[in-house]
Amino acid sequence: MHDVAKHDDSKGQYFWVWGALLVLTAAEVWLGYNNQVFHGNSAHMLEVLLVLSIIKSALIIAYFMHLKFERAIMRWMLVISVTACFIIMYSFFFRDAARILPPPNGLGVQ
Amino acid sequence: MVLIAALFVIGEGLTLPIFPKPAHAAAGELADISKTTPQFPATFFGLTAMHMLHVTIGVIYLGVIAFRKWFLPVLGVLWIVGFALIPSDNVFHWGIHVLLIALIVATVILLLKPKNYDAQDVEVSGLYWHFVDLVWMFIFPLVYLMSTKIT
Repeated sequence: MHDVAKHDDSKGQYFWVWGALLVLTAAEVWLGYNNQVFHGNSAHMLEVLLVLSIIKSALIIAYFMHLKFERAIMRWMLVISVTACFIIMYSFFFRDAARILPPPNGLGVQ
Repeated sequence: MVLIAALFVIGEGLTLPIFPKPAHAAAGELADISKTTPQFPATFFGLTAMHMLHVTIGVIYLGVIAFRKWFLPVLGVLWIVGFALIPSDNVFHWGIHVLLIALIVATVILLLKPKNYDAQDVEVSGLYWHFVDLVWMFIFPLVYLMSTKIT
């Protein structure tokens, strides 16, 4: 894909990214099994795990899916549309997920 | 027309948070279904089994791109050996037949497109695989790590 992308063909950076993904996954699993560090606050645990997952996703999109080496117009188009998609999903799904909250904020269903 | 309909759907989604909340006594239908029907299995397998389906499709995709017709004997040998070696009381003894389905699908693909796959095919199959990977980045912490007991 040399006509649209300019980056060196060394495999080294893929291994660095892979190593970073392994380290981040290990951190997530450690937090999962040592979740007393969150003092029972599962919402805080959710935040930390999702931030780590977003970092991992950014690494995958940037390097493994080559977005970092694409044209600027391609990068902005994708980032803006993905962000818009997540905002719409947030509106739908988090509204629905509120059913599990106890009344009066939700329906209190299991 | 379609554009206007799409704008209405998107607009409704964006404004849902400002709609008045239903009083939980009035939302009887939703509450009853949620209480009488188990919510976990459909949610769990909706996420994990659909992901497994996409991983299986990705394995067939990458296998055909990488090995072309030589992927067929690979699948066939793995299917026979797997079925022979996995004990009959193990669920994967029969589950290994998914490799037979993969064999049939890969055969049809190679009959329809019997060519040498080029750099574009490698790029696109890699994009598919990493998009499935991307989904797992969120399923794994949300389903598995969040279900560990808070101590």
